[in-house]
Amino acid sequence: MTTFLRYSCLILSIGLIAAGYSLNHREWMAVSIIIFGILWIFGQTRWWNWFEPVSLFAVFTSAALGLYMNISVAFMLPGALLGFLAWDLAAFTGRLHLAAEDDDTSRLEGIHLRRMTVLMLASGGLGVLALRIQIKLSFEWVVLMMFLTVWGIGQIVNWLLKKGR
Amino acid sequence: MNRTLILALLIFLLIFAGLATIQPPILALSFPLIFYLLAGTWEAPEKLDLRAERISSAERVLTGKEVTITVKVMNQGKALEEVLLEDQIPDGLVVSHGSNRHLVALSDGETATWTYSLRGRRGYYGLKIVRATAGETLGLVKTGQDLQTEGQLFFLPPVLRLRRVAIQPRRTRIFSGTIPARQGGSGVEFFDVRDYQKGDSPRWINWRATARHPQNVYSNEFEQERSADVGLILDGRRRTNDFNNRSIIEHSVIATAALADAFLSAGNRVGLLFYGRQMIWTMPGYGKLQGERILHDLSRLEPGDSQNFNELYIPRHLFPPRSQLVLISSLLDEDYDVLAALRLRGYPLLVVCPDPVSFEAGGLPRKPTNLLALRIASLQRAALLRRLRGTGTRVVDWDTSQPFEQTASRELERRSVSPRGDKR
Repeated sequence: MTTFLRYSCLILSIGLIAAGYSLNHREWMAVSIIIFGILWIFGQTRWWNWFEPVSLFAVFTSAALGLYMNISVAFMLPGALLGFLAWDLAAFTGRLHLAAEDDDTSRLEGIHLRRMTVLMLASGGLGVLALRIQIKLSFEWVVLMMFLTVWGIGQIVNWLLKKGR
Repeated sequence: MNRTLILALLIFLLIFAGLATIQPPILALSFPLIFYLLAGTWEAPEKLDLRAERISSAERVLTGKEVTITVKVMNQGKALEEVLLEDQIPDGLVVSHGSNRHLVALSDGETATWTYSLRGRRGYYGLKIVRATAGETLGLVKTGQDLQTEGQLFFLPPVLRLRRVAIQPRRTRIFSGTIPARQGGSGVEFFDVRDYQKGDSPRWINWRATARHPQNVYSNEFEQERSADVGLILDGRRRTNDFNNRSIIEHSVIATAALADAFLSAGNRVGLLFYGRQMIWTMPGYGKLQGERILHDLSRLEPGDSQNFNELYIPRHLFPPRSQLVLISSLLDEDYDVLAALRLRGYPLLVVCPDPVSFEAGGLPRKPTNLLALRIASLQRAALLRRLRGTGTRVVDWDTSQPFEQTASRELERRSVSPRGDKR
């Protein structure tokens, strides 16, 4: 189940982003993304763990670049979300390999997939909402909010790293 | 690279890019990542409160047999989304069926139980820890705990059954046994002829001697059979046991276990001295319990070099004078003096000598230089054994490619001719 979802998400993610570029008449970018997608699939079959973060950065970079080039959000945001899901499921599958043959992995899969569905729906929904409702802020407010966000995320990361040590 | 760091870096880049290009959609791309981190923080497991229990099907097993281990882990704290439970297995043990690992989700008060089987080399193994690594389902935070358990396993050496080991110590104990005591009395084997005494069975009368001397009646006397003190000495020096990453000690241990069993079955009092990195002394005793004690001690022995003694050292005070000593050793040239000194003090000595030359040759390529070296080493060894036999020591030369029971039945079942210096 997880493996099927992982590959489906990966293919859909690459497909959506490549389609976005292709419809915007940037075929060479679309082809590059498809080639990268094939490489990503190959890396997943070969368990190239080092390739996973590279893939995540590549998907988000191409999505961000697409958005900057005014390619439709309908392609780029779901593409990035599905790519992120594929990256997460690859790590989850790696952890499932630690299970014994007779372990009940379906329960673990259920918990994980439920959590990811909620996360994806919430973040996707919030993203769409944020794009619809646009509030005009002064530059000072933007800078302050940026600093607060960076500081807040820094705190979370610090806590997670300490906890995981 | 840590997944949390990767996500953090990506979030910072997206926020920076979004603000720099004034593109809200790029900022929106960071939302799933931020939510992911927040979810990891929210669901991170707090302090683990797990209890582990391990049940093994047996604590003492013969080498080659399987032990079934059942592990139970109870969650007495909050629910855990993903816990990897791993029973820590010492080196020397291998999982033969199932897995010592278990990946589960444990809700509040739930117990995880799983079973697996182990096989192992001869030895003592402490099973003390079940390692639990818990995390939330996204895998961002991991918390570990070592769960203490009680458990130990003894993989005992196999015990070969020898039909009989004929020894003839000069001193026997007062209890009846199977060792000829060199004294007349009730027994099986003919010992002497003496004057008929009141109470002698008519069947004991030696009619031939009586016919020769008609004025007297003579009776047969039989040799008493009693138990004896037997001291087994197992040589655990690295120099005599380890050859090119192969160790002959397993053969020596098997021989020691077989001899101990044979001597104890014959009603003797048997003790064991292991001489390696340290000395391990199993007090002499009788019967099955002593057999278990010896096997127990044999299972723990590993070769090593003593810090105090360079040569073979046999503490004589541990063995009663003139009791039977059995040394199981591959022997070095310099051991001759120690063994000769033992003989001079009146100890009957049996040396079971696993052949180190053929053993080492088994692991070497058959090159002309190796064959020549093998021949020289064999000659040196033959000379040493011959010198030893010259002192009245009974030497059993055991080619370890042959089963020990075969060598023992050939060399040990028959009573040896009285060695030099052991005149009646």
